[in-house]
Amino acid sequence: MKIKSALLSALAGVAIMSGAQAEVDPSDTVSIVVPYGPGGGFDRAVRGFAPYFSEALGGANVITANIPGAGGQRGSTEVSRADPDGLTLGIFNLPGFALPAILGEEVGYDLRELSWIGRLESDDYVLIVAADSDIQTLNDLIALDDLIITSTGYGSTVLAALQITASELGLAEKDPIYLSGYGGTTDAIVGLIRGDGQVSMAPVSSVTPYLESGDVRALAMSGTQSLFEGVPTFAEAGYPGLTPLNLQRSIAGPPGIDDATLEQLRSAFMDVVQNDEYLEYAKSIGMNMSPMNGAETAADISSSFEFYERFSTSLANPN
Amino acid sequence: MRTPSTLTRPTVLISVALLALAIILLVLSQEFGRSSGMFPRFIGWVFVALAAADVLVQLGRWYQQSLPEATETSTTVKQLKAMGWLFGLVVFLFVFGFLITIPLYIFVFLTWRSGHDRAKSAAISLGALFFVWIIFVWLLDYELYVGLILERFL
Amino acid sequence: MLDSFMTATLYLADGVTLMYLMLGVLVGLLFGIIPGLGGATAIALLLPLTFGMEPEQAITLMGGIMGSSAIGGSVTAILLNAPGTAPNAATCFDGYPLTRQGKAGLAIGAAATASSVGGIIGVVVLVAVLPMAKSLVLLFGPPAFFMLAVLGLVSLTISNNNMLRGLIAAAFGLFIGFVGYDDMGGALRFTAGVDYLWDGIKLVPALIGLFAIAEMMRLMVEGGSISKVDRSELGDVKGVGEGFRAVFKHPKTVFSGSFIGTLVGIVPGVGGTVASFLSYSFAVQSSRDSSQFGKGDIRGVIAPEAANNAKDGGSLIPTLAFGIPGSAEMALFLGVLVLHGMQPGPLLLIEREWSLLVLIIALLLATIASACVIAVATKYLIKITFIDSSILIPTVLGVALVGAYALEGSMGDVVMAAMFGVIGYVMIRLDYPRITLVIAIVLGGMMERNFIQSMLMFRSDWTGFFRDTTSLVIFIIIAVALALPVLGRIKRGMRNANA
Repeated sequence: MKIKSALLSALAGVAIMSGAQAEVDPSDTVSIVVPYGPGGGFDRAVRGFAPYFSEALGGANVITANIPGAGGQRGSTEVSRADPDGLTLGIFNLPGFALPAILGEEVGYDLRELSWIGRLESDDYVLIVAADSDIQTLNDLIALDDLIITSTGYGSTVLAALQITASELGLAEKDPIYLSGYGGTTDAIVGLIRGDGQVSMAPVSSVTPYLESGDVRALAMSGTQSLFEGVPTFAEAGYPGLTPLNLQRSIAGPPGIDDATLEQLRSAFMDVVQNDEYLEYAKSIGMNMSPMNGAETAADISSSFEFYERFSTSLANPN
Repeated sequence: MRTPSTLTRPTVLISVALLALAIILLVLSQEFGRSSGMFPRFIGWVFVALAAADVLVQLGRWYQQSLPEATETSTTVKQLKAMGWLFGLVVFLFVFGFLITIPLYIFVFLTWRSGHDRAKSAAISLGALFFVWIIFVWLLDYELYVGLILERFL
Repeated sequence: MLDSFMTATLYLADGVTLMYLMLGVLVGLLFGIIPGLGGATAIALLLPLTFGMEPEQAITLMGGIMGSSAIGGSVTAILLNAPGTAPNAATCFDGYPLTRQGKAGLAIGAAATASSVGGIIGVVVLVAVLPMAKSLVLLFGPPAFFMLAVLGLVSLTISNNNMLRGLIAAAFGLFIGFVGYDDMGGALRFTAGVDYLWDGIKLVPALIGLFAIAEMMRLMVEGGSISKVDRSELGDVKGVGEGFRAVFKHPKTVFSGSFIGTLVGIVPGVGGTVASFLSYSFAVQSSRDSSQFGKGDIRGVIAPEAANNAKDGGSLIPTLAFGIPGSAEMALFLGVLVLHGMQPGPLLLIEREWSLLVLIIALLLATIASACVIAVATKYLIKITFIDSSILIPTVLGVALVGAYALEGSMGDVVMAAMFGVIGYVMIRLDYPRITLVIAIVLGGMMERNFIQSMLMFRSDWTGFFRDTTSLVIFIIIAVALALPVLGRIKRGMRNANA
């Protein structure tokens, strides 16, 4: 029965660290909704962020609320419909939470209307092949006529990224086989290593361990600057249309949070992401930090949304 | 191998109900696309065939042994009552939430259905409430559902 | 290796570390016992506590939980027919009948001992295969997964007495598995427009209904207490020691169970539920006299429990080597590792060898410690089964439904558990095997997905299943499993003819 008290003292420890200039009532509890169960990348990002956010909010209690269900839609709908008092926030990813709407499903939220607090992570996508593959360059891949692509299921970000890439590279006309349905990004990478298919794609943070261990090779990556030696960006390889392709994790609240509260949350957010201690910690847990303030995030969300919308015809389910 | 008590009309009815369910599932499976529908359609046909075989087996037995009309009436009543208690609990949970319903339900069950004395029943209900509270509320910080009524006010 | 082993042992000999281990064991046991909670909830609860710890201390704490929650779950499975965690469902089939015969002590003793032995074997195998972990994981592609699922279904269906009803239960279970969003075909199936069903029918509420609630329904209709034996006849509980000995009287069951558990554990993405069910059905099939299974055969307790704990060792391989967790529990453990700066991946095994050995030894100690705790506590726990059912029913119903709710904080899960309670009760009355239903729910999705993936890979040429070596090997095992009972019958027939 000591667990709770131990837990409380751990939380108290965090609270003591907090500063004095409290504008938000420190007795408030801010919940950050993770629309998935505990243990995944979203959960990790929020749990790492919460204690620092609490500190930046003058000691308000910041808790992580896991609301899994309906592929993330239950939690995000709940955030979108919550009272706009700034006490219920959520973590969203793009394109993940934009896809259902773009694919024509009915969803209970509109990303473009949420009150964006700021962006935590941004991960570029890397196009990969198994280490022992004959495919050495992007051109080798494009020359292939018969292609199997390993991927997660319909509605996932990885499949969407692959479909957009295939369409830009002109592979879509060759009618590649999408071996979708792997349980997660890592499963799809392992399937690639095993030889289930010839090519796949994954965000930098997921693929780095396999690049380092030499199990996979990168052909190209999105973004404006390559993170891996000898690997071109898509722009450098002649496909600038793929530069904006990325995976972002950002914090937002329901539409209509009043300006003062929103400003306060945004500045607390910026305090956290400019805190070296936090950045170091975030790096140690494998986060790919790429902070952006709330206003810029909101603008970026809208332009990204348009980017994915342009490809909506390429995003039909291949299976 | 089969004991006579299970060879009753409700048994046959449930076999028929299963066959109906299998047919409905098979029909629903027709509208799925190529890869989503492949397995449901295949398993659907197998399910229909199996359920039909079961119905035939049951009818055959019925014909041969002239089954009793039903399970003893007292058992049927008991079964319906048991279901009533179960779904009553679910409905109460929806209306009043966990922390009110659980002790109340146990108390009512013990005094009304089982005829235990009130003091003992109250002690057991409070004990159960205490257990649930310690584990789920105190230790785990769960926000247990409060029910439709309290939700209005909170 | 030896160096790291010494470092790890010395590390664990520290008082504070041992305290974390025991804390993990106690929390794991408690959470294992309560249906709906489990190792995963326990890890989620203690996760924030580990923030300030050294990585290895965190690992020790988690090792304590993982090594003990499975044993905790077997206690309620045996005493109340309410599996504490999903993999313990297989323990119900013989554990609960033993309780009704007044032999709960025997069953719990055997379960605790088998868990320990299984845990030890699993860890030994883990250490032995760690160097080749990567190639092992890579043996299993979609064709092999498909064959594995078929093996699970086939072996359970043919071990039924009433084959027709077994097959019907399997077909029904497969359809239950189809419910929800199919992300391969992108279709919503059988949801009737209900949002709750988007994620499909969840296993834990279904299990709580099929076992705990169905059992309470049966008690409501039949009355009495769980144990059919008069309390005075039982005297003091002496069964625990007997259970301990029973495990060593059936070395074949323990070893094959542990072996199956480890093997299934290594297969990425397949959880302990499959391990314990496969082990159970193997025990039924491979025994000369299987007539008592389902009615209180002690081997029916030993086999799944040995497998359930052995699989922890095995399942660490895909979790650590590739970051593919086989269960919610492993997924959370993965989260703990990452929080402490240990990225799972092929390099982890090499770079952090000693930290992994800490985990391995912690798992081992936790299994043994929790078995001891359970053995001591059995005396008190057994009293539950003599409680008058009129008191037990409302209490268990209430707690079971809170457990169903607690899983995800969803009232839909509560309704689902109640509905499966009725289904379970009907199945008990009419002799439809619940084992087969559960295993079909568990394996159905895996079978479907991997079949479609395989056919895509083979470009619709089904002979591919026999060109994939692993898949071919499993296919041969299936063929043997199907042939054995037939051969046995022929042999018996010939013997009868000669006599």
